[in-house]
Amino acid sequence: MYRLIRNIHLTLGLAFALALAVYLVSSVRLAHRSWFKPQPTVSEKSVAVDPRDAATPRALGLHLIEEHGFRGEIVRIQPSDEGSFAFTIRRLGTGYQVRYQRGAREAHVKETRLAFIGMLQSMHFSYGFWHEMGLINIWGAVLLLTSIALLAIGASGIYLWFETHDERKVGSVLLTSALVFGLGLLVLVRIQG
Amino acid sequence: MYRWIKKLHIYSGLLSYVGFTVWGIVGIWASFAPAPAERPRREPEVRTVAFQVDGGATDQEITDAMIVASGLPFIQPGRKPNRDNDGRLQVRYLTPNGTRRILLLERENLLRIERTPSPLGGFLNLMHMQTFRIHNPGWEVHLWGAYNQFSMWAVIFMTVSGLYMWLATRPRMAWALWTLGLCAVLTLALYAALR
Repeated sequence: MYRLIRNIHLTLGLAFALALAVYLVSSVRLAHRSWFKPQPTVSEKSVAVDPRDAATPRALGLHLIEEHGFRGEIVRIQPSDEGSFAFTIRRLGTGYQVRYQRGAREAHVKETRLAFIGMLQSMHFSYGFWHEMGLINIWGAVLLLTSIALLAIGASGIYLWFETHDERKVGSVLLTSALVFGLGLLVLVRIQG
Repeated sequence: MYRWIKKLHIYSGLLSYVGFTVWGIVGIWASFAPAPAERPRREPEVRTVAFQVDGGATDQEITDAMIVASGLPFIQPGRKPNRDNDGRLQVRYLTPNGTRRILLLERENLLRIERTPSPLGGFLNLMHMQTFRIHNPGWEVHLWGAYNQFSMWAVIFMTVSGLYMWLATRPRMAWALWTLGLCAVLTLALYAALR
């Protein structure tokens, strides 16, 4: 049994090491923003479009995705009263802000590409299975699996510690302290309303 | 060396157990949360308390007095005065337990206190974001932030020490090498495709 649990602990740790690293490195960035100064790369261009393909923001967005290779999902549609509209085509780490004047033959596109650490942060914030872009949903599945693996690694780690008889005394004190301290704080914050 | 790394690996895991368990629960909760546009709107719980405005007081003084009179936790006087669309003084803020709003009803000599509760998953989500570097008015949240930060470094250490312990004891284990290699390639491929 010990051998089996140890192998499960190792397998899960190895399988999710890199995914976990994405979350851990971005957590360091979120906790210590002054340590990192990531500069996004910004570029602007005009894209030729046929006004018939740009009747609505979504129609233009889908046209840009299908015909011009803009990868991502359409978000933040902002119609305007003056015959223009704006929206963003976004994937993790890259965003295209599109502005279009109705009837015009070109759309203005501002591309923002996040630096490496910004990309990791973007991956940290991405979750769920409701995205239009399938790849983002796949990353959502990675988050779900990594979370389940984290719980399983923790549970198997507790078992492996308990079976390491030399460490039972010290370990019991540490685990009890962590449970009382951590759960105690959670309860204290929660009950304050 | 190996013996000490293993000892520290075990101790780090035991001490940070609550911290990374919360992260795991939040990850599962977030995975099944509805899309932002489909989330049900939560109605605030409302109560009122008597509140008399001093005619000579500044907006800052009134805002400070509103905070004290509300008796709400996780906020202290000193917030910048803010008004709603109807020009009424208000204090809006987010706590791990949800959003809070204190609204001055000057003509009625009342404070309207709105408390929009956060579900347990939302509460844990907000708690998992806390670090001790964020200004937290409540000492409990501040202390949790320090613990959260400790857990972050502990899990980083466990990831590295876990790899070391594997390579120090069973470096030629074929299935372990395959697992690491395959999953690393898949994660990197996904990173490249999402970029």
